[in-house]
Amino acid sequence: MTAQETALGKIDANLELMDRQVLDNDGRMIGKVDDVELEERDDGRIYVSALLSGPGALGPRIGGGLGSIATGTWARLSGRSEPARVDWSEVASVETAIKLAVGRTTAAIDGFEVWMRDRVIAAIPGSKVLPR
Amino acid sequence: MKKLFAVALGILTAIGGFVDIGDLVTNATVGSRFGMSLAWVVVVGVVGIVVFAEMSGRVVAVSGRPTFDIIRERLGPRVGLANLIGSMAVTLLTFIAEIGGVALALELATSVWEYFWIPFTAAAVWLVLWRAKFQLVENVFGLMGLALVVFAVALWQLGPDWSQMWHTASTAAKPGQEAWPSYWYYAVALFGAAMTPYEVFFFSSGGVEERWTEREIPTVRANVFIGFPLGGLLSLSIAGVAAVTLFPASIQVETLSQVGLPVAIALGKLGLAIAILGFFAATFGAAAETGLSVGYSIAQYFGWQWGKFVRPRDAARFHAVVLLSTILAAVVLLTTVDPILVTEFSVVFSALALPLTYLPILIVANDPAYMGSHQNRWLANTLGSVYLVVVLVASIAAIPLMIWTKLGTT
Amino acid sequence: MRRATAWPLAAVLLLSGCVPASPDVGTYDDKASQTLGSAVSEVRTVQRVMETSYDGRMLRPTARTQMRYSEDALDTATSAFTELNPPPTRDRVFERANTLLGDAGDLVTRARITLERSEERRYPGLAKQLGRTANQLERLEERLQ
Repeated sequence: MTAQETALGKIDANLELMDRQVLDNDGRMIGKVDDVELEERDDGRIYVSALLSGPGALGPRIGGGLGSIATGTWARLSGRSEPARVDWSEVASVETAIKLAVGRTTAAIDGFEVWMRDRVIAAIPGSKVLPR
Repeated sequence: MKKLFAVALGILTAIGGFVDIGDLVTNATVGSRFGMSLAWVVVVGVVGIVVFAEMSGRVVAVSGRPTFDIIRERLGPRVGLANLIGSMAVTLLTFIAEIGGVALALELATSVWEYFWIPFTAAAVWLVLWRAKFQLVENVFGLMGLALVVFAVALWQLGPDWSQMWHTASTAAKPGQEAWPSYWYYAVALFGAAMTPYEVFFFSSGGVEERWTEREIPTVRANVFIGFPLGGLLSLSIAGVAAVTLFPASIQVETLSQVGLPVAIALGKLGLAIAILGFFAATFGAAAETGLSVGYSIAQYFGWQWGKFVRPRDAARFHAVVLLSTILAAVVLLTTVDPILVTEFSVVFSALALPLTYLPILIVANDPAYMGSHQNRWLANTLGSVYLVVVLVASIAAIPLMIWTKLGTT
Repeated sequence: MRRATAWPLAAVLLLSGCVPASPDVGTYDDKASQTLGSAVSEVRTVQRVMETSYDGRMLRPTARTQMRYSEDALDTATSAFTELNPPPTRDRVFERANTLLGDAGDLVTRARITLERSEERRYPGLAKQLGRTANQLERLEERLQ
């Protein structure tokens, strides 16, 4: 899918992108499309330039006190002020889930997962073996 | 041959896995107080779970997307989050009740105080969720749960007046000494127990765990159309033996041992031992299912990796949620809250939360973009819409009835 | 019947600011018949446990577990009842119920001890006595409805 085809009108970002599951190039679930980044190009049309994911993008959409707490906590813990983004050039396909052309490390939208894995789950015996 | 075996296994585990602590307690209580006059609710509930389980099974087989993934996408992040919080609260409550139920079953087998068993039960449940393969959990506890067939045998052995029983059931004749509000309160509770939302979360997520495709739709249908109604018959047998032995003696079921008492009367020690094994399997299996469901739903809302088809370290947040819920369940139970009371609350709150789960499923099953040629046909849609009304009524009535009847005690 | 009595008890405590409640006649009759109903349920359960134990149809751990629950539940029911102040016109009901609930409590305790000691020859006698007390409780309950 090229950028041209994503001009609004061709793809309904609200219906076909928002809140969909994001998979990395291994098919692993790494997040949701919590928001999209839009960009107006020279031709006057609006394009989706990136997918935004994580509490930084989800918080404002939930809104209210809960939303700002989520965004604030996330910003504090991650030390970032802008939501995690995946550039549109890294999107491989849009189906019932969004598949990326890159791995989870490159996409880097699931910092909390990495933290939980390294600090908590990896410490429990058997975490590296497939359930039998 | 192999295919046939797989279908048979699926049906058997669907039967054995149908009953959980909510069904056990609610059916026995209702049988002991209302005879068979509420049997119709079990039938209505079973048809309902069949309709929606088939729908969610079909959705997951076609789109690969489980229930909460869809709920978030259809309802958006705000309403989806509210739905998540409501559904999770109920599933967590059910999870607590199931772990309590395992402890109660162990108490019946050993006479050692239930609260002693809780830490061990919680640890064992967690270990299964951490290490055991999905299919293993489903098959082992589903097959062991078939021990509950002993209730049907007991009913047959007791040799009730079948025509009398059928008469009470078919005319829904409320016993004179009971009040109508209590009758309707238990109707809602039975309905909630039969249609517990976690069953759908678990069923649809299980479809992803087992990598269903369109080719599996007939198998899924066989499990649901044959397995669930037969599981419903087990529920009815539990109510039936209580109606035959406890109801005439004005014994009201308040403990798990009273649920098993009719089996002891009908079949003696061996029968009772099999029933207790059935209690253990049904509650342990359901504890595993509800524990997973908590993790599934949260992970699916946020898009985290989940499931038991990957190594635990590759689904770190999912396993963290499962671990925390198990600890929470143990802590709540160790405050010496009565698990039977938790169970009663869990079935009523299930009834309250039903529309949260079933409305989005009905919407998506009608979406051609998702379902293609497997979109709902008229029968599924008619039933689905009728049930949506029933579910809404039960949901609205649940809490007022609970307060009015003081948990059905008046 | 822990719950059936816990609810009214909780309600009573809340409404009365933690002093024993003095309900009117109608309310008193309701609560009394509810307590008696719970007691009937527990006494008959223990009766069934004794009968099935005598016939060799009951598992011992299950019997012991049920005895523990029934004894507790009967205690709770009894104290929920005796904590209510009866209206003057219900003095006789109060006396009668008090006596019967006391008898029931004694019998259930004896049943528990007998079961612990496995004195099987005493099971049928106890079961019969439990059955009689349950019937008396039930008759009183019906009179109040």
